[in-house]
Amino acid sequence: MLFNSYAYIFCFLPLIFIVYFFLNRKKLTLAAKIWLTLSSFFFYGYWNPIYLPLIAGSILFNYAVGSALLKFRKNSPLLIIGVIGNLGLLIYFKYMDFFITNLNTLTVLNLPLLHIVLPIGISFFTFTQIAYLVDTYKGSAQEYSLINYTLFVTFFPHLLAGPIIHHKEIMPQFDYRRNKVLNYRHIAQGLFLFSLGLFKKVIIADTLATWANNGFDYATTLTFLEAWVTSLSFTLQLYFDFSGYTDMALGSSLLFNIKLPINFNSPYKALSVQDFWRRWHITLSRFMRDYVYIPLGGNRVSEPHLLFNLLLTFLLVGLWHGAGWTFVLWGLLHGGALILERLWRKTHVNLPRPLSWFLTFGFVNAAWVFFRARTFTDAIKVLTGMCGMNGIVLPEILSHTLSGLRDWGLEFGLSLRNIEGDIKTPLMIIVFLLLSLLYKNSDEMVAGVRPNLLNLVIFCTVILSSILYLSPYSEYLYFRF
Amino acid sequence: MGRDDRIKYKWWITYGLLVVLTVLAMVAVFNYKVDSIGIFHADKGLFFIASNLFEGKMVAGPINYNEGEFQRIIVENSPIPIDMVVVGSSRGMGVRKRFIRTEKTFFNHSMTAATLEDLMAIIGLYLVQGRLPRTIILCLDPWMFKEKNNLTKWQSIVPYYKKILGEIYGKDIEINLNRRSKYQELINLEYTLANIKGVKKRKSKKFYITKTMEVNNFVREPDGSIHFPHGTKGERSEGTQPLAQLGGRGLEQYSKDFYAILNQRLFEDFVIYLRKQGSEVILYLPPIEPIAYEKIKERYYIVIEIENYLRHFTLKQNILLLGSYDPKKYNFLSSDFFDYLHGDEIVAKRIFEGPQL
Repeated sequence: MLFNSYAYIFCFLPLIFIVYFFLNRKKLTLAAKIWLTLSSFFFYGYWNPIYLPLIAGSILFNYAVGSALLKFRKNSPLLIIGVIGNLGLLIYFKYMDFFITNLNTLTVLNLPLLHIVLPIGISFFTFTQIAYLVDTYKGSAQEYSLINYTLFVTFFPHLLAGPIIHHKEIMPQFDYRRNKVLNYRHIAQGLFLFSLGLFKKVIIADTLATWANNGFDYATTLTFLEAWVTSLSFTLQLYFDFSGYTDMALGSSLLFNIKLPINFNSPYKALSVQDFWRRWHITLSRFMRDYVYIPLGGNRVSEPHLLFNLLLTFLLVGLWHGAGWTFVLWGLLHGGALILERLWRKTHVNLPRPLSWFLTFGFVNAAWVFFRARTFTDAIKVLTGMCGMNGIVLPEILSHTLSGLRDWGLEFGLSLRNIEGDIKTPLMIIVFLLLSLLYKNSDEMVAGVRPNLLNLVIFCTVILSSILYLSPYSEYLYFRF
Repeated sequence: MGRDDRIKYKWWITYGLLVVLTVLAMVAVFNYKVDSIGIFHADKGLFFIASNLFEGKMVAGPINYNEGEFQRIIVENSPIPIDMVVVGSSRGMGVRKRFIRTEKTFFNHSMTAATLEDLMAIIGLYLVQGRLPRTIILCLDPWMFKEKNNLTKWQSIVPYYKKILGEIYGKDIEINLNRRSKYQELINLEYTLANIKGVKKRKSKKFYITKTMEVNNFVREPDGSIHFPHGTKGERSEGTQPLAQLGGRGLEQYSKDFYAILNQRLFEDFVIYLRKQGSEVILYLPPIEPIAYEKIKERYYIVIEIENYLRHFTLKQNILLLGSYDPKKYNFLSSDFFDYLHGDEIVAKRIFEGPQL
């Protein structure tokens, strides 16, 4: 089920909320947890019930391994079995066709592709459970109740696209007595956050999607302006889409007095690539740091080894996002940029902040081209366009003012024709970019939510415009990861 | 949080939800009452179109009305039995009686963005009348072979789809159409804006009789076929190239995760059922604009697989198949199309002028 659907907003969420607190009020706390768990299964299966046994099986497997780890402390083979089981599932569903395609390319084998449809959220619930097993192994998590464990994995606000959570930061919240009663401040904050997320997704991200999709998928060639609009549209679309989704997840969860970890902290304000990864998809960065980078040796190894580990970690970050060489390259680009930054820091030369921002944003924007493009040909198409190699066409409206530029090879005409944009398109991109750079992010806004008239007007305007603008078939970009 | 704060937050939530629900209720009532395209109330304009077509007149007007309901009115009120029908999407709207060498009575029931289920529903309308057409031309698009393709139009004829499905498989069949409820339109911004425009234009006539195709509107011929607005064709003067560059976009939205022919069983059972009932079935594959076709082929090999499958199926069942998604097979050029999915007059004409039907 999508957060931005009528079914979720008008039926699912209110019903789950009312029954949950009713059961808690009647002191039926176990029943309330079971209700939330079953509702989460319904939420997951509403899209495609065929994968319910898959997630149920995955939960049972990890619960069994987790229980065994609790019984036989520090048992490495058990942990290895658990991690391999999870990764095996992920590899089968997500990477099998990628593997077969590459095998067919490298050898004379002509193995048929399996065309496996990726179960929604598999990357997220797999990573959540791997983290649980490792935490259990280390002794920082323990869960003896199957209901609690199932609720931890399936709690619907984080199930499909994160944030990736830790057992110890979520499950104690379900047991706090104060969290079993209505908390009006949390409800107000939750509703406010949800409305902001819905607005970001429905009004901003879906608007940007048109130009990004046209540029990446359909246009055969892109002029300078078209290519920049295409890449910036996607850069902003991805941020507003994913952070909007996260806002809705955090907002929904807050209604139940459960605080999920934040995932975004104004990432496009970052002044370095390292800073960017502290602000973008924070729970994934945390996971990769804690469960990949540090076990590889972290900062305690020799410099060349450390740089290699950095590259390897980001190669895996790239692969986690998708089974394709474009994702691998995207991950390697970020790994490479982090290495360069590390080497640059040793020169003790500090760049001015505006220049640091410009270089960071420019790099992130260019790297997203590989992340979004379905093929390298598409990526090259956008990048060559951005370099002006397919010509520069400026809007006809400027032809009189800037007519002298014709001598330099510039043309005037329908400057955004190939991506179906018009004169408003660049203006909207500038507005959305400024929003992401200058305005408070959702978490900062919600922290300051007071029950006053201004916030009431903002809430009503934002939620009403979003509901009226709902597109029932839009999908979240991050579901495919 | 103190008691005062708790009360303030409680009132803030209450006012907020009250305002939101009240505004939504007002929008819903407005949309229900105005209902400019007849989603909730019978549209008198549809009877106007139908009665004039029956009298042999051409009717011009917009196409954003309940096309499913319109087809129901045609089938239920036709003064003469219809012997030959075309059912398909907008890509089949250009098939006209005069292109076909036949003496049979004819009607083109093609509807915008139709799915296989929509095609079956139209035939279900005839089934309920107790008389299936003698010849049924199924205009097939690749997306029709994608199960649960989420096309939500034509809710009003869903019962007729169920009827024919019941006839094919028996009465106790579970149907999961995964369709969008028409009541969602009550709080849809686009529909609200359409209704606001509808209120403004209420006094002007939505549909009118025309003797010429040279009007800037959709024109429906008495045989049910449609001419696209003059303005749409006008785009061709700038060259089909820009549209073709976006090739496959129309197909893309129906082709997400489209790797296999998923509606195969339903399609075959439907065709076999029609033949058992004594109807002749003809398949028509409308060509795609040449540049767009090359683009689509790259991305969606499934389109070629579907055509191969249909050719194999028709050969095995001894069914006539006309057309091809590949425009080269009939030597069509970009200039024969007014956009990347829709052919001009010459396309259907050249394909249908051959055989005696």
